[in-house]
Amino acid sequence: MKKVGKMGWKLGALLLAAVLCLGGCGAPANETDSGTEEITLKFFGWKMGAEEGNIMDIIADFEAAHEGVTVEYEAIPTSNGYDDVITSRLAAKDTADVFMGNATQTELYLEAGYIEDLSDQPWVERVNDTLIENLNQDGKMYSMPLENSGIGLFSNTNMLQELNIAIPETWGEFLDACETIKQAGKTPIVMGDKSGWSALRIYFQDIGNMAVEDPNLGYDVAEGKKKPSEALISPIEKYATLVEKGYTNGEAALGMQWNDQALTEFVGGNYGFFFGGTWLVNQMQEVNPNFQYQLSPLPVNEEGKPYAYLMTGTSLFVNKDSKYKDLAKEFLNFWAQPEYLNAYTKSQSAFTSMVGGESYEHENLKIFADAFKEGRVCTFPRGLEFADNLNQPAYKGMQMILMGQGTVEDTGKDMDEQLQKSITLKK
Amino acid sequence: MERQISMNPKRDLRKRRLNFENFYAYLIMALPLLIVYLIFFFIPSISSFFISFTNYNGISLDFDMVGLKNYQTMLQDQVFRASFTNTFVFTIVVSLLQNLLSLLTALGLNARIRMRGAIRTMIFAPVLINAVVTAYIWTYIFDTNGLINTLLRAVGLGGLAQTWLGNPDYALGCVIVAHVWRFIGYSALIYLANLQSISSDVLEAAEIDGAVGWKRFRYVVFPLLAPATTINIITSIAGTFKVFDIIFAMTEGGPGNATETIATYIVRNMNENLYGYAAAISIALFFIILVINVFVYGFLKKRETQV
Repeated sequence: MKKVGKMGWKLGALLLAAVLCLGGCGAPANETDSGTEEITLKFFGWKMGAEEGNIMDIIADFEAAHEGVTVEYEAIPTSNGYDDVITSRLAAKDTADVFMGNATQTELYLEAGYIEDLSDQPWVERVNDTLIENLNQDGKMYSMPLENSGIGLFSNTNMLQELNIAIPETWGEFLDACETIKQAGKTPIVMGDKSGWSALRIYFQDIGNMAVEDPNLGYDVAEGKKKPSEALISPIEKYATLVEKGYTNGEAALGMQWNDQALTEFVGGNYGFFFGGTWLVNQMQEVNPNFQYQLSPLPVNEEGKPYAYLMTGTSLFVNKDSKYKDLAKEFLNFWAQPEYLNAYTKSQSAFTSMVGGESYEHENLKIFADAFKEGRVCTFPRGLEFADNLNQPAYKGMQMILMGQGTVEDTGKDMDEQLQKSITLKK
Repeated sequence: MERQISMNPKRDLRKRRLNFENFYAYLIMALPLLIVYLIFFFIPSISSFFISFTNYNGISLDFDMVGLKNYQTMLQDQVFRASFTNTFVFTIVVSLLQNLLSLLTALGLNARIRMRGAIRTMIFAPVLINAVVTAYIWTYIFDTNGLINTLLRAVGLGGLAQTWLGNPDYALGCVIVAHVWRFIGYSALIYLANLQSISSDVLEAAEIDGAVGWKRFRYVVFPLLAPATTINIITSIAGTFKVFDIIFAMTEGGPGNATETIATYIVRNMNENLYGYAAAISIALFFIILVINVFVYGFLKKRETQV
């Protein structure tokens, strides 16, 4: 017994020593030569490689302008579970002072008490109106939107010119254009729906359009006041029309990823249309530098001009538990200066998030950019983030419609069930 | 010096105190693994069980206890039912196909054939390939312009060409083929080890008694392969019930719900911030695997002892 006891003490002492050694590894607060406290501002994000843009320049200039401040940027790509890492770190109170996030997560972050109110920051008055409408939570701003990405209709302008077709602006014109292409022996639209992405563009665009007319649509659906099978069924019907008329690449779409095989097929020049986003411009250019195309808003509207669908991309949040909240806010202010934010926006092939800001300009984005400048824009309906898992039955239903194994009604029914599940589980 | 052998080792062990020689040294050796097991398996498992009774959204720690609501919802959830059916079909077909093909492979490799070593390495190689890489290989094979359709067109059977992974009627079958291909070598190796442990005396005796060819396999070899069958069936059931990676990389659970499995559905719910619900499905999956494995293991062990 005595022997064991001795061993236990030894083991305990060893463990304690190890803990003390590891504890000693923590860096003490330092001071610079001029006596200023040395601060490390931690910044966690997902932009890396080509996507990093001018982030490192912004950091370098910020450090130069703030003596004793070092900004430590750590990036994990979204494909490697950024969301999981950030939520775990936030929960463990062990996250960065500033972090990138998706604006749609704002409500959840706010409920959990993880983010700082940024409403009094000088850049807020420059944020464009659509974003203010979409990002505010009870009139307060909790994130700085860095960019707007656009999603719309890519047209093969060579093919359209050959067939004397104008870039469509309404659903009727779009169907006519598809019919003309089909009559010419070509397939009008190439879609990549292995994950339902292409089909969902019609869904997002149409419900985005609806929300312009009815801003409460998202809330009404999410609260169960309106059934998805009635309020959100129009895009499913539109998709079914395209399939029924043979305007898509049919079941081949289910074997393709939208940003891989489908994009390559489109750039190959054999299809008239493709649904995609502004960030694909460089990729298209690389795959086929001679390909002629134009991005315009996806015309699911029955009349008038189509709306450019915008997605608020990356936003910056300040951690409520940060020791250096003021400095973190200062970092955002620094970034928001036109010279930095404009350069960043352009590096992301995106549209500006600020009034008077500069967007990425490209001759192939002109029609879409014009709609953006006119303020003819729509976004994912506010309130519907709560039930954003309706996307799942929507695209799965569309996949089954494509294979002839499902109907618009089946999809609506599945969406109703999903909403009920969502309401039951989230409340 | 002659060593004294105790007549009652159990009583001796009870009398002995635990000391560094007989217990703590071994405990220290096992400690790193125990700690890893505790941190990465035991604690998460217990917390999953707890989370399954909450509405935890994966972000806020301010969640409520919701009792059995997640479990009740699961029973009414059509997608869960579809994913359960798919998982069950996947498990049954993979377990049977994988064991049948690997048994045939092992029998072939046990024979005295030329380049046996090289063939064994080749057959075992797919196990070493990452599931995602396997998925890419087979996605290419099943692609609209992939190997299978190209071959079909080349031999004048272009009418049979399909969007294999995009067709709800074929998608699950395609994933099964890829999964079985990956694990044939693994199961075959276990069967082969068991085959080589069968005494030649037994086989010769059987031959003298007139058991040759199919009869020898049916009545002598196959029953003696019972230990390998038990291991292969149990590991394939546990592995296939949890299958995620290869399915997600090949079909993402689609088209529709055609290849949605319980594991892919768990991840889908986590992505929707329904962590409490996802945890409830995980717990259900744990008990499903446990019950089935207990039943199957009991059956296979009984078979082993009968042999």
